[in-house]
Amino acid sequence: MIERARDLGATTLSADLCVIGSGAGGAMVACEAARTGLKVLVLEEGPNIPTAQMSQREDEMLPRLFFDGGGRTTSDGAVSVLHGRGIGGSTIHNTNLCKRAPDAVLDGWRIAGWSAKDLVPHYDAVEAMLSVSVIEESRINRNNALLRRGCEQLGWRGAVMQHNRKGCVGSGFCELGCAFDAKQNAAKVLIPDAIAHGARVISEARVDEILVEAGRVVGARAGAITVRAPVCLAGSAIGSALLARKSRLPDPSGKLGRTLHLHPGAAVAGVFDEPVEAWSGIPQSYECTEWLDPTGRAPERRAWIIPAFAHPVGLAAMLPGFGAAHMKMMRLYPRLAVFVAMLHDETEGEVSVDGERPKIRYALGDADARGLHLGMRATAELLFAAGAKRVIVPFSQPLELSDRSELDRITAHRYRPLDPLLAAVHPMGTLALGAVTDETGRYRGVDGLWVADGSLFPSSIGGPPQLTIYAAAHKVAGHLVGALGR
Amino acid sequence: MSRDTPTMKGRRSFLRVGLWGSALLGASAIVGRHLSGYSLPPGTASPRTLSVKELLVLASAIERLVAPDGPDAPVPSGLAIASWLDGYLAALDQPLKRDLRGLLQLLEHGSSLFRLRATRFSHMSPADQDATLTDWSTSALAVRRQGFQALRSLAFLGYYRDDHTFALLGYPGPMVPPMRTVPT
Repeated sequence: MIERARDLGATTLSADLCVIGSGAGGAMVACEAARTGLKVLVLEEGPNIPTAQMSQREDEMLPRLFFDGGGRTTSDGAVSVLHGRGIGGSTIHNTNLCKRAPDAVLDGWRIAGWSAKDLVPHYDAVEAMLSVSVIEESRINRNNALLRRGCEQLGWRGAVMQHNRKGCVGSGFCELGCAFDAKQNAAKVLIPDAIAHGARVISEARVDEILVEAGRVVGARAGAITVRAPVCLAGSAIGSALLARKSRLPDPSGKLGRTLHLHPGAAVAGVFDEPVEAWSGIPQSYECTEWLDPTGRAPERRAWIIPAFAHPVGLAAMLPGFGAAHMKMMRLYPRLAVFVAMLHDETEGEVSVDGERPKIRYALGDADARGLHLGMRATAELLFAAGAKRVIVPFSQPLELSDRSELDRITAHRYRPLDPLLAAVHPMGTLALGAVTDETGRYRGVDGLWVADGSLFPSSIGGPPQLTIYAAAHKVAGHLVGALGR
Repeated sequence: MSRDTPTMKGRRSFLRVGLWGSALLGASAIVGRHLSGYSLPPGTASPRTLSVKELLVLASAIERLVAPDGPDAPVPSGLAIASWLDGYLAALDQPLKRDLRGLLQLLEHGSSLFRLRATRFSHMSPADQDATLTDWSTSALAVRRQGFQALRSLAFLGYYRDDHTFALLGYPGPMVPPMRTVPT
């Protein structure tokens, strides 16, 4: 059973471990710790949303699943930052992509115990727990098939991806939560397992402060609820950094909150003669990695290209302009394919405190801006290669290309904030390993505190992060349980 | 921080940015304080989040941001969308609501400062409103581009959430029935 904070009133609870956040990281730690017999208490800021309440409607689900109703942005508005809240965190609304971080990225971290080889057993364990499998050929929808066609036509590197779904009916509403309970995610697999092993899970419990006494974390306060226990922080790269800074935790590395990566991406749309109906089926099943070099040896190749379809409100936001001209584009919906060039970014942003809210500063660096334009150009080239008759590029002065000879108009564009509008769904890196935390995930500068979410990543990983977050939390859980004497 | 990162001024929000934004907001507030002429049609419920004036400015912007491209497109009837958004916004944090209210004041009164006209946004012709919104969308000032994006996002949410627009798009809509009330 999942309790609500408002039903508990003012109370002080004790536990062996308090986990803040119930997404991929928090749920994994809670599950692993509870299995060893530790008395675990999970505090989650968002609500518990049962499958029956997944209504597939953007106006109903966006405010429930995302911070600020899906309207959170960087402080200059240049990047829309979508990150989830609720039991299960972002695993509720993500598209279930399960990809291991590239070896070059992990090995490039140079953190003891975190090489690609070191993480293999953790990835293996997580993939087994979440029933990860390759997406079947028959489940590749037309939007994804067009990306594959583009790759094949150009001879570019691409692949069918892995996911964690069972019993998927292909409704296509993954990003609004699954109404058919097919996601094998934190909420469905790990939280129930943790509860079965004695964990207590409290929703709608926004933690205000991590409590520190004499250099040791002794608990957390969430409104009228006080928990006395060592703490594992797993509230996402935004939420964990915000809470650490609000709590004025020591920052011996000087890096707390400062190494934020976002994977910002820009969508490019192609107009086809044939029906695409990209709203139907699994939204993302194929990737193009031709323009992604995780080694860093080809710095201009930093775009991970994947389909980026959305339902009407989301699509409207992706397309440029407004008024009647915008509506004309919206009418093309059934024949639109949309891909996104998502940056493996080297830009480092910062999460700080603005009252009770996070202030997210992120100014895209010149090299990343160059990589973005090259990625958008490659995305447009893929669309043409797949058969697009026109390509729509969402600059503030909307750009429409009629053939490949015009592709250089994309790279001729000069980036400035909000032009193009960027979206990010993968915040990472604000309590990074080797800086804010040590190689066991323990927070440096105070005892009794661990970190187990995407904020651990010392760099962008250039792909979907959920599997690596689960794996990192699986690894941290082992250290944490050992340290707590089990 | 990457070494090639451009300026990272302390932009707390689109209205708390730099001298330009502050000056414009201040000027618009001073001018706007002395202007009247904002009233809801009889029988219209009072807004929960916005003032009547702010609601009407939002409705004016919505009329242009989702202006129909043909007779088969549902008319936005901006006030209905604005009223729905007013309820939607009620659940957001106070700083966000405060920023939006400031944005609407800036659109209403600050736009005339940029276009050297003394006409409030809500009183402009549709063509002038379109020109104003285009100015905002391509402005050299990031604060105005940010404001434009915020308004655009709200208008699109209010319009394309509505099942009546789905036929226009050839979109079948959700597979499950709507909730009668969204749990709080």
